[in-house]
Amino acid sequence: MKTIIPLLLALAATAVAAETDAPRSTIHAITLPKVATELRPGPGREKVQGYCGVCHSVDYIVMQPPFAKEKWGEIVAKMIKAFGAPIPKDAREEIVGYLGTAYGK
Amino acid sequence: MGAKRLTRRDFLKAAGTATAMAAVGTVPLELLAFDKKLVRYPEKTDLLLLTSRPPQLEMPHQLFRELVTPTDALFVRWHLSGIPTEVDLATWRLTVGGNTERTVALTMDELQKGFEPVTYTAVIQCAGNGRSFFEPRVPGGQWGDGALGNVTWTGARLKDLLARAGVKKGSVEVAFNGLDTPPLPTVPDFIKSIPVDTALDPEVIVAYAMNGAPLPMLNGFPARLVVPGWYATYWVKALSDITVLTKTSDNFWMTTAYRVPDTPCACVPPGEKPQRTVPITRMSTRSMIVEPQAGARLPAGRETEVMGIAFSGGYGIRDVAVSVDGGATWREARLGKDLGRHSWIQWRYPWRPEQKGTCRIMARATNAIGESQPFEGLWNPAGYRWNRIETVDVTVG
Repeated sequence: MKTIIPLLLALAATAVAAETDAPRSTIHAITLPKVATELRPGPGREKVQGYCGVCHSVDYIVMQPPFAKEKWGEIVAKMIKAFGAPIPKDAREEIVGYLGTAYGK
Repeated sequence: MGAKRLTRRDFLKAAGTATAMAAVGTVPLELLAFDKKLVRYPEKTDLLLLTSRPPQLEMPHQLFRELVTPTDALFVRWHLSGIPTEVDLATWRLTVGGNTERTVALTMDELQKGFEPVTYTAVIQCAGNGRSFFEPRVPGGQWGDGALGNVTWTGARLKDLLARAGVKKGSVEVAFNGLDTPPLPTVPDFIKSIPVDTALDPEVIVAYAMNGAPLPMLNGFPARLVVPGWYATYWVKALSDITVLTKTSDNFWMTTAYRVPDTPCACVPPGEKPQRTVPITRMSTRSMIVEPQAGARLPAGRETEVMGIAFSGGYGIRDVAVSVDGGATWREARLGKDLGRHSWIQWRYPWRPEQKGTCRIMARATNAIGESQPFEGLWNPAGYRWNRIETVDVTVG
Protein backbone atom coordinates (compact mmCIF):
# COMPACT_ATOMS: atom_id res chain seq x y z
CA MET A 1 0.00 0.00 0.00
CA LYS A 2 0.98 3.62 -0.14
CA THR A 3 3.53 4.62 2.44
CA ILE A 4 4.80 8.13 2.76
CA ILE A 5 7.72 9.25 4.87
CA PRO A 6 7.29 12.94 5.58
CA LEU A 7 10.64 14.64 5.99
CA LEU A 8 9.35 18.15 6.39
CA LEU A 9 9.99 18.43 10.11
CA ALA A 10 13.57 17.32 9.70
CA LEU A 11 14.04 19.74 6.81
CA ALA A 12 12.54 22.63 8.75
CA ALA A 13 14.87 21.92 11.66
CA THR A 14 17.86 21.89 9.31
CA ALA A 15 16.80 25.18 7.74
CA VAL A 16 16.57 26.89 11.12
CA ALA A 17 19.99 25.58 12.06
CA ALA A 18 21.46 26.71 8.74
CA GLU A 19 20.23 30.25 9.21
CA THR A 20 22.10 30.65 12.45
CA ASP A 21 25.36 29.25 11.08
CA ALA A 22 27.69 31.57 9.20
CA PRO A 23 28.53 31.60 6.37
CA ARG A 24 25.12 30.66 5.07
CA SER A 25 25.02 27.65 2.76
CA THR A 26 24.44 28.32 -0.92
CA ILE A 27 22.92 24.86 -1.28
CA HIS A 28 19.18 24.32 -1.44
CA ALA A 29 18.12 20.69 -1.21
CA ILE A 30 15.04 18.56 -0.62
CA THR A 31 14.51 14.88 0.02
CA LEU A 32 11.63 13.34 -1.89
CA PRO A 33 9.22 11.19 0.10
CA LYS A 34 8.90 7.52 -0.76
CA VAL A 35 5.50 6.83 -2.28
CA ALA A 36 4.73 3.22 -3.10
CA THR A 37 1.95 2.31 -5.50
CA GLU A 38 0.86 -1.29 -5.93
CA LEU A 39 -0.37 -2.65 -9.21
CA ARG A 40 -3.35 -4.99 -9.31
CA PRO A 41 -2.40 -8.71 -9.29
CA GLY A 42 -2.30 -10.62 -12.55
CA PRO A 43 0.03 -12.38 -14.95
CA GLY A 44 2.60 -9.92 -16.31
CA ARG A 45 2.56 -7.60 -13.30
CA GLU A 46 6.27 -8.12 -12.58
CA LYS A 47 7.23 -7.34 -16.17
CA VAL A 48 5.16 -4.13 -16.07
CA GLN A 49 6.77 -3.08 -12.78
CA GLY A 50 10.22 -3.89 -14.13
CA TYR A 51 10.07 -2.40 -17.61
CA CYS A 52 7.69 0.54 -17.15
CA GLY A 53 9.25 1.33 -13.78
CA VAL A 54 12.62 2.04 -15.40
CA CYS A 55 11.45 5.53 -16.35
CA HIS A 56 8.38 6.28 -14.23
CA SER A 57 6.43 5.18 -11.19
CA VAL A 58 3.57 2.80 -11.92
CA ASP A 59 0.99 5.30 -10.64
CA TYR A 60 1.19 6.56 -14.24
CA ILE A 61 -0.73 3.36 -15.07
CA VAL A 62 -3.02 3.38 -12.05
CA MET A 63 -4.31 6.91 -12.76
CA GLN A 64 -5.46 6.12 -16.30
CA PRO A 65 -9.12 5.48 -17.03
CA PRO A 66 -9.96 1.93 -18.14
CA PHE A 67 -8.70 1.55 -21.71
CA ALA A 68 -9.30 -1.34 -24.11
CA LYS A 69 -6.32 -3.63 -24.71
CA GLU A 70 -5.91 -2.08 -28.15
CA LYS A 71 -5.48 1.39 -26.62
CA TRP A 72 -2.96 0.05 -24.10
CA GLY A 73 -1.10 -1.44 -27.07
CA GLU A 74 -0.89 2.03 -28.62
CA ILE A 75 0.38 3.51 -25.36
CA VAL A 76 3.10 0.85 -24.99
CA ALA A 77 4.07 1.34 -28.66
CA LYS A 78 4.45 5.09 -28.00
CA MET A 79 6.67 4.40 -25.00
CA ILE A 80 8.93 2.27 -27.20
CA LYS A 81 8.92 4.55 -30.26
CA ALA A 82 9.03 8.00 -28.65
CA PHE A 83 10.98 7.27 -25.48
CA GLY A 84 12.97 4.15 -26.36
CA ALA A 85 11.45 2.00 -23.62
CA PRO A 86 13.76 -1.06 -23.55
CA ILE A 87 10.97 -3.63 -23.73
CA PRO A 88 12.01 -6.81 -25.59
CA LYS A 89 9.65 -7.98 -28.32
CA ASP A 90 8.69 -11.17 -26.47
CA ALA A 91 7.62 -9.19 -23.38
CA ARG A 92 5.34 -6.73 -25.20
CA GLU A 93 2.37 -9.02 -25.51
CA GLU A 94 2.46 -9.98 -21.85
CA ILE A 95 2.71 -6.32 -20.81
CA VAL A 96 -0.13 -5.19 -23.06
CA GLY A 97 -2.17 -8.21 -21.98
CA TYR A 98 -1.71 -7.37 -18.31
CA LEU A 99 -2.65 -3.70 -18.82
CA GLY A 100 -5.67 -4.60 -20.92
CA THR A 101 -6.89 -7.02 -18.27
CA ALA A 102 -5.95 -5.35 -14.97
CA TYR A 103 -6.62 -1.79 -16.20
CA GLY A 104 -8.89 -2.50 -19.14
CA LYS A 105 -12.51 -1.88 -19.87
CA MET B 1 -24.65 45.37 -11.01
CA GLY B 2 -25.80 41.99 -12.16
CA ALA B 3 -28.99 43.17 -13.85
CA LYS B 4 -27.94 42.55 -17.44
CA ARG B 5 -29.61 39.50 -18.90
CA LEU B 6 -27.79 37.34 -21.34
CA THR B 7 -29.38 34.82 -23.60
CA ARG B 8 -28.15 31.44 -24.72
CA ARG B 9 -28.01 32.87 -28.21
CA ASP B 10 -25.51 35.52 -27.09
CA PHE B 11 -23.32 32.73 -25.84
CA LEU B 12 -23.55 30.65 -28.95
CA LYS B 13 -22.64 33.71 -30.94
CA ALA B 14 -19.60 34.33 -28.77
CA ALA B 15 -18.54 30.71 -28.80
CA GLY B 16 -18.60 30.79 -32.58
CA THR B 17 -18.25 27.67 -34.61
CA ALA B 18 -16.41 25.83 -31.88
CA THR B 19 -19.40 24.40 -30.09
CA ALA B 20 -20.79 22.82 -33.21
CA MET B 21 -17.76 20.59 -33.62
CA ALA B 22 -17.67 18.82 -30.32
CA ALA B 23 -19.92 16.77 -28.15
CA VAL B 24 -18.97 15.98 -24.60
CA GLY B 25 -21.75 14.73 -22.40
CA THR B 26 -22.39 15.72 -18.82
CA VAL B 27 -20.97 12.98 -16.63
CA PRO B 28 -20.96 13.23 -12.84
CA LEU B 29 -17.46 14.23 -11.80
CA GLU B 30 -17.18 11.56 -9.14
CA LEU B 31 -17.39 8.91 -11.84
CA LEU B 32 -14.48 10.40 -13.73
CA ALA B 33 -11.83 10.85 -11.09
CA PHE B 34 -9.74 7.99 -9.77
CA ASP B 35 -9.10 7.99 -6.07
CA LYS B 36 -6.41 10.65 -5.57
CA LYS B 37 -4.61 10.57 -2.23
CA LEU B 38 -3.31 13.59 -0.35
CA VAL B 39 0.47 13.60 -0.01
CA ARG B 40 2.93 16.06 1.42
CA TYR B 41 6.13 16.86 -0.44
CA PRO B 42 8.97 19.13 0.73
CA GLU B 43 8.05 22.85 0.70
CA LYS B 44 4.48 21.95 -0.32
CA THR B 45 1.22 21.58 1.56
CA ASP B 46 -1.04 18.52 1.22
CA LEU B 47 -1.67 18.02 -2.49
CA LEU B 48 -3.39 15.31 -4.51
CA LEU B 49 -1.05 12.65 -5.88
CA LEU B 50 -1.18 11.83 -9.56
CA THR B 51 2.30 10.35 -9.84
CA SER B 52 5.39 10.20 -7.66
CA ARG B 53 8.32 9.64 -10.07
CA PRO B 54 8.47 12.23 -11.44
CA PRO B 55 6.10 14.06 -9.10
CA GLN B 56 2.78 15.34 -10.40
CA LEU B 57 0.66 16.90 -7.66
CA GLU B 58 -2.69 18.64 -7.97
CA MET B 59 -4.16 21.43 -5.85
CA PRO B 60 -7.33 20.50 -3.92
CA HIS B 61 -10.48 22.42 -4.82
CA GLN B 62 -10.91 24.44 -1.62
CA LEU B 63 -7.63 26.29 -2.23
CA PHE B 64 -9.22 28.04 -5.22
CA ARG B 65 -10.84 30.36 -2.67
CA GLU B 66 -7.56 32.29 -2.51
CA LEU B 67 -7.11 35.23 -4.89
CA VAL B 68 -3.38 34.54 -4.97
CA THR B 69 -2.42 30.87 -4.68
CA PRO B 70 -0.20 30.20 -1.67
CA THR B 71 3.28 29.14 -2.81
CA ASP B 72 3.08 25.80 -1.03
CA ALA B 73 -0.28 25.03 -2.67
CA LEU B 74 0.75 25.46 -6.31
CA PHE B 75 0.53 22.28 -8.41
CA VAL B 76 3.65 20.31 -9.36
CA ARG B 77 4.30 18.81 -12.77
CA TRP B 78 7.57 17.34 -14.07
CA HIS B 79 8.12 15.30 -17.23
CA LEU B 80 11.39 13.43 -16.61
CA SER B 81 12.20 11.35 -13.55
CA GLY B 82 15.62 12.95 -13.13
CA ILE B 83 14.38 16.03 -11.32
CA PRO B 84 16.72 18.38 -9.46
CA THR B 85 16.61 17.90 -5.68
CA GLU B 86 19.74 19.91 -4.86
CA VAL B 87 20.95 23.18 -6.36
CA ASP B 88 24.07 25.02 -5.26
CA LEU B 89 23.75 28.71 -6.11
CA ALA B 90 27.54 29.00 -5.88
CA THR B 91 27.84 26.92 -9.03
CA TRP B 92 24.42 27.38 -10.74
CA ARG B 93 24.56 29.59 -13.82
CA LEU B 94 21.94 30.70 -16.31
CA THR B 95 23.64 30.50 -19.70
CA VAL B 96 22.35 32.62 -22.58
CA GLY B 97 23.84 31.76 -25.96
CA GLY B 98 23.28 30.17 -29.34
CA ASN B 99 22.85 32.61 -32.22
CA THR B 100 24.15 35.52 -30.13
CA GLU B 101 27.12 37.93 -30.19
CA ARG B 102 28.44 36.32 -27.01
CA THR B 103 27.53 33.67 -24.48
CA VAL B 104 26.79 34.96 -21.00
CA ALA B 105 26.63 32.90 -17.81
CA LEU B 106 24.67 34.70 -15.10
CA THR B 107 24.79 34.01 -11.38
CA MET B 108 21.62 34.37 -9.31
CA ASP B 109 23.09 37.56 -7.83
CA GLU B 110 23.58 39.01 -11.33
CA LEU B 111 20.09 37.93 -12.39
CA GLN B 112 18.55 39.67 -9.40
CA LYS B 113 20.70 42.82 -9.30
CA GLY B 114 21.87 43.25 -12.88
CA PHE B 115 18.43 43.58 -14.45
CA GLU B 116 15.34 45.61 -13.63
CA PRO B 117 12.98 43.39 -11.62
CA VAL B 118 9.43 42.99 -12.90
CA THR B 119 6.50 41.83 -10.74
CA TYR B 120 3.00 40.82 -11.77
CA THR B 121 0.34 38.25 -10.95
CA ALA B 122 -0.34 35.64 -13.61
CA VAL B 123 -2.30 32.42 -13.95
CA ILE B 124 -0.19 29.31 -14.42
CA GLN B 125 -2.06 26.39 -15.92
CA CYS B 126 -0.93 23.04 -17.25
CA ALA B 127 -2.03 22.43 -20.85
CA GLY B 128 -3.62 19.18 -19.68
CA ASN B 129 -5.59 20.70 -16.80
CA GLY B 130 -9.07 19.15 -16.88
CA ARG B 131 -7.96 16.19 -19.02
CA SER B 132 -9.97 13.78 -16.86
CA PHE B 133 -13.19 15.51 -18.01
CA PHE B 134 -12.67 14.56 -21.68
CA GLU B 135 -15.10 12.12 -23.24
CA PRO B 136 -14.00 9.86 -24.83
CA ARG B 137 -11.24 9.69 -22.25
CA VAL B 138 -7.67 10.29 -23.35
CA PRO B 139 -4.39 8.94 -21.93
CA GLY B 140 -2.07 11.24 -20.00
CA GLY B 141 -1.97 12.96 -16.62
CA GLN B 142 -5.53 12.64 -15.33
CA TRP B 143 -5.83 16.15 -13.91
CA GLY B 144 -9.04 17.49 -12.48
CA ASP B 145 -9.08 21.28 -12.16
CA GLY B 146 -6.07 21.62 -9.89
CA ALA B 147 -3.17 21.98 -12.34
CA LEU B 148 -3.89 25.68 -12.07
CA GLY B 149 -2.85 28.56 -9.84
CA ASN B 150 -2.51 32.34 -9.67
CA VAL B 151 0.90 33.51 -8.53
CA THR B 152 2.72 36.82 -8.13
CA TRP B 153 5.95 36.38 -10.06
CA THR B 154 9.12 38.46 -9.84
CA GLY B 155 11.97 38.20 -12.28
CA ALA B 156 14.12 39.71 -14.99
CA ARG B 157 12.79 40.41 -18.46
CA LEU B 158 13.86 37.73 -20.92
CA LYS B 159 14.47 40.43 -23.54
CA ASP B 160 16.98 42.13 -21.22
CA LEU B 161 18.86 38.86 -20.78
CA LEU B 162 18.84 38.31 -24.53
CA ALA B 163 20.11 41.86 -25.09
CA ARG B 164 23.05 41.11 -22.78
CA ALA B 165 23.99 38.22 -25.07
CA GLY B 166 23.09 40.13 -28.27
CA VAL B 167 20.59 38.30 -30.48
CA LYS B 168 21.98 37.98 -34.00
CA LYS B 169 20.11 38.21 -37.29
CA GLY B 170 18.40 35.09 -38.55
CA SER B 171 17.08 34.10 -35.13
CA VAL B 172 13.77 32.24 -35.24
CA GLU B 173 13.16 30.67 -31.83
CA VAL B 174 14.54 30.74 -28.33
CA ALA B 175 14.88 27.38 -26.54
CA PHE B 176 14.81 26.72 -22.79
CA ASN B 177 16.37 23.82 -20.94
CA GLY B 178 16.29 23.06 -17.23
CA LEU B 179 18.23 20.94 -14.76
CA ASP B 180 15.93 17.92 -15.11
CA THR B 181 17.41 14.95 -16.95
CA PRO B 182 15.96 11.98 -18.85
CA PRO B 183 16.06 8.55 -17.19
CA LEU B 184 17.48 6.94 -20.35
CA PRO B 185 19.57 8.36 -23.21
CA THR B 186 16.69 7.51 -25.57
CA VAL B 187 14.22 9.73 -23.72
CA PRO B 188 14.19 13.23 -25.26
CA ASP B 189 15.36 15.95 -22.87
CA PHE B 190 12.58 18.37 -21.92
CA ILE B 191 13.44 21.47 -23.96
CA LYS B 192 10.78 23.96 -25.02
CA SER B 193 11.04 26.87 -27.41
CA ILE B 194 9.05 29.98 -28.23
CA PRO B 195 9.14 32.22 -31.32
CA VAL B 196 11.72 34.99 -31.07
CA ASP B 197 8.97 37.66 -31.20
CA THR B 198 7.35 36.13 -28.13
CA ALA B 199 10.74 35.93 -26.41
CA LEU B 200 11.21 39.68 -26.91
CA ASP B 201 7.80 40.50 -25.41
CA PRO B 202 8.64 42.65 -22.36
CA GLU B 203 6.18 40.67 -20.20
CA VAL B 204 8.08 37.39 -20.57
CA ILE B 205 10.36 37.00 -17.56
CA VAL B 206 12.80 34.63 -15.93
CA ALA B 207 11.22 34.45 -12.47
CA TYR B 208 13.29 33.91 -9.35
CA ALA B 209 10.52 34.64 -6.85
CA MET B 210 6.98 33.41 -6.27
CA ASN B 211 4.81 35.53 -4.01
CA GLY B 212 7.92 37.37 -2.82
CA ALA B 213 9.99 34.33 -1.85
CA PRO B 214 12.36 31.95 -3.67
CA LEU B 215 10.69 29.23 -5.73
CA PRO B 216 10.19 25.87 -4.01
CA MET B 217 12.44 23.19 -5.52
CA LEU B 218 9.44 21.38 -6.99
CA ASN B 219 8.16 24.56 -8.68
CA GLY B 220 11.47 25.24 -10.42
CA PHE B 221 14.08 26.58 -8.01
CA PRO B 222 16.12 28.66 -8.61
CA ALA B 223 14.42 30.24 -11.65
CA ARG B 224 11.79 29.44 -14.24
CA LEU B 225 10.47 30.99 -17.42
CA VAL B 226 7.11 32.79 -17.17
CA VAL B 227 5.20 33.33 -20.42
CA PRO B 228 2.02 35.01 -19.14
CA GLY B 229 -1.11 34.01 -21.04
CA TRP B 230 0.50 30.84 -22.44
CA TYR B 231 0.16 27.33 -21.05
CA ALA B 232 2.74 26.32 -18.48
CA THR B 233 4.45 23.79 -20.74
CA TYR B 234 6.66 26.70 -21.82
CA TRP B 235 7.38 27.88 -18.27
CA VAL B 236 10.53 25.74 -18.04
CA LYS B 237 11.57 25.05 -14.44
CA ALA B 238 15.03 24.99 -12.84
CA LEU B 239 16.17 26.93 -15.89
CA SER B 240 19.83 26.50 -16.87
CA ASP B 241 20.15 27.22 -20.60
CA ILE B 242 18.60 29.76 -22.95
CA THR B 243 19.58 29.11 -26.56
CA VAL B 244 18.74 31.32 -29.52
CA LEU B 245 17.96 29.16 -32.57
CA THR B 246 18.20 29.90 -36.31
CA LYS B 247 15.55 27.28 -37.13
CA THR B 248 12.53 25.84 -35.41
CA SER B 249 13.25 23.23 -32.77
CA ASP B 250 13.12 19.56 -33.76
CA ASN B 251 12.79 18.42 -30.13
CA PHE B 252 10.10 15.82 -29.39
CA TRP B 253 8.40 18.13 -26.85
CA MET B 254 7.80 20.66 -29.64
CA THR B 255 7.29 18.49 -32.72
CA THR B 256 5.20 15.66 -31.24
CA ALA B 257 4.00 16.58 -27.75
CA TYR B 258 2.02 19.62 -26.68
CA ARG B 259 0.36 20.12 -30.04
CA VAL B 260 -3.27 20.88 -30.82
CA PRO B 261 -5.36 20.50 -33.99
CA ASP B 262 -4.74 23.29 -36.48
CA THR B 263 -8.42 24.26 -36.59
CA PRO B 264 -10.11 27.48 -35.35
CA CYS B 265 -11.31 25.74 -32.16
CA ALA B 266 -8.10 23.69 -31.71
CA CYS B 267 -10.47 20.73 -31.63
CA VAL B 268 -11.66 17.80 -33.72
CA PRO B 269 -14.83 15.70 -33.51
CA PRO B 270 -14.44 13.41 -30.47
CA GLY B 271 -12.28 10.39 -31.21
CA GLU B 272 -10.95 11.68 -34.54
CA LYS B 273 -7.36 12.33 -35.53
CA PRO B 274 -6.42 15.87 -36.58
CA GLN B 275 -5.03 16.32 -40.09
CA ARG B 276 -2.56 19.00 -39.01
CA THR B 277 -1.35 20.14 -35.62
CA VAL B 278 0.44 23.21 -34.25
CA PRO B 279 2.21 23.84 -30.93
CA ILE B 280 -0.20 24.83 -28.16
CA THR B 281 0.24 28.48 -27.13
CA ARG B 282 -2.23 30.83 -25.44
CA MET B 283 -4.74 29.71 -22.83
CA SER B 284 -8.44 29.53 -23.56
CA THR B 285 -10.92 31.50 -21.46
CA ARG B 286 -12.20 29.69 -18.41
CA SER B 287 -14.30 30.16 -15.29
CA MET B 288 -14.61 27.86 -12.31
CA ILE B 289 -17.26 27.61 -9.63
CA VAL B 290 -15.46 27.48 -6.28
CA GLU B 291 -18.48 27.76 -3.94
CA PRO B 292 -20.81 26.02 -3.44
CA GLN B 293 -19.19 22.70 -4.20
CA ALA B 294 -20.91 19.91 -6.10
CA GLY B 295 -23.32 17.98 -3.91
CA ALA B 296 -23.66 20.78 -1.35
CA ARG B 297 -26.97 21.06 0.53
CA LEU B 298 -28.29 24.63 0.77
CA PRO B 299 -31.24 25.74 2.93
CA ALA B 300 -34.20 27.06 0.92
CA GLY B 301 -35.07 30.71 1.41
CA ARG B 302 -31.72 31.73 2.82
CA GLU B 303 -29.30 34.09 1.09
CA THR B 304 -26.14 32.37 -0.15
CA GLU B 305 -23.40 33.23 -2.58
CA VAL B 306 -22.05 31.56 -5.67
CA MET B 307 -18.35 32.37 -5.93
CA GLY B 308 -15.71 31.53 -8.47
CA ILE B 309 -12.76 32.60 -10.55
CA ALA B 310 -12.29 33.46 -14.22
CA PHE B 311 -9.29 34.06 -16.44
CA SER B 312 -8.33 34.28 -20.10
CA GLY B 313 -5.13 34.02 -22.08
CA GLY B 314 -3.96 37.53 -21.25
CA TYR B 315 -6.93 39.67 -22.25
CA GLY B 316 -8.71 40.14 -18.95
CA ILE B 317 -12.28 39.15 -18.17
CA ARG B 318 -15.12 41.28 -19.51
CA ASP B 319 -17.95 39.48 -17.75
CA VAL B 320 -19.01 36.29 -16.06
CA ALA B 321 -22.58 35.07 -16.48
CA VAL B 322 -24.12 32.77 -13.90
CA SER B 323 -27.16 30.52 -14.19
CA VAL B 324 -28.80 28.83 -11.21
CA ASP B 325 -31.45 27.05 -13.29
CA GLY B 326 -29.35 24.80 -15.50
CA GLY B 327 -28.79 27.38 -18.22
CA ALA B 328 -32.37 28.64 -18.78
CA THR B 329 -31.62 32.16 -17.52
CA TRP B 330 -28.34 33.95 -16.97
CA ARG B 331 -27.26 37.00 -14.98
CA GLU B 332 -24.00 38.81 -14.65
CA ALA B 333 -21.82 38.14 -11.62
CA ARG B 334 -20.04 40.92 -9.73
CA LEU B 335 -16.32 40.94 -10.50
CA GLY B 336 -13.80 41.35 -7.68
CA LYS B 337 -10.46 43.10 -7.41
CA ASP B 338 -8.59 43.34 -10.71
CA LEU B 339 -4.94 42.26 -10.39
CA GLY B 340 -4.26 42.74 -14.08
CA ARG B 341 -5.08 40.97 -17.31
CA HIS B 342 -2.88 37.92 -16.60
CA SER B 343 -4.38 37.27 -13.16
CA TRP B 344 -7.61 35.44 -12.51
CA ILE B 345 -10.42 37.53 -11.16
CA GLN B 346 -12.84 36.45 -8.47
CA TRP B 347 -16.58 36.76 -9.10
CA ARG B 348 -19.56 36.61 -6.79
CA TYR B 349 -23.25 36.08 -7.36
CA PRO B 350 -25.70 36.52 -4.46
CA TRP B 351 -28.44 33.92 -4.60
CA ARG B 352 -31.46 33.01 -2.49
CA PRO B 353 -32.61 29.55 -3.56
CA GLU B 354 -36.38 29.26 -3.04
CA GLN B 355 -37.46 26.00 -4.65
CA LYS B 356 -36.53 22.73 -3.03
CA GLY B 357 -34.81 20.13 -5.15
CA THR B 358 -31.72 19.84 -7.31
CA CYS B 359 -30.32 23.04 -8.76
CA ARG B 360 -27.75 23.21 -11.50
CA ILE B 361 -25.35 26.16 -11.24
CA MET B 362 -23.41 27.20 -14.33
CA ALA B 363 -20.83 29.91 -14.98
CA ARG B 364 -19.43 31.27 -18.20
CA ALA B 365 -16.71 33.87 -18.66
CA THR B 366 -16.03 36.09 -21.66
CA ASN B 367 -12.73 37.89 -22.14
CA ALA B 368 -12.07 41.40 -23.44
CA ILE B 369 -11.81 40.21 -27.07
CA GLY B 370 -15.02 38.19 -26.90
CA GLU B 371 -13.54 34.72 -26.40
CA SER B 372 -15.78 32.63 -24.21
CA GLN B 373 -16.55 29.09 -23.15
CA PRO B 374 -18.45 26.36 -24.99
CA PHE B 375 -21.48 24.43 -23.71
CA GLU B 376 -19.89 21.24 -25.00
CA GLY B 377 -16.26 20.31 -24.38
CA LEU B 378 -13.88 20.91 -27.26
CA TRP B 379 -12.16 17.59 -27.90
CA ASN B 380 -8.58 16.95 -28.99
CA PRO B 381 -6.59 13.68 -28.74
CA ALA B 382 -4.08 14.91 -26.16
CA GLY B 383 -6.65 16.39 -23.78
CA TYR B 384 -5.51 20.02 -23.79
CA ARG B 385 -7.29 23.39 -23.32
CA TRP B 386 -10.29 22.12 -21.34
CA ASN B 387 -12.70 25.03 -20.84
CA ARG B 388 -16.28 23.79 -21.03
CA ILE B 389 -18.83 25.81 -19.07
CA GLU B 390 -18.85 24.33 -15.59
CA THR B 391 -21.90 22.86 -14.00
CA VAL B 392 -22.29 22.26 -10.28
CA ASP B 393 -25.36 20.44 -8.97
CA VAL B 394 -26.53 21.29 -5.44
CA THR B 395 -29.53 20.28 -3.37
CA VAL B 396 -31.86 22.95 -2.00
CA GLY B 397 -33.96 22.08 1.00
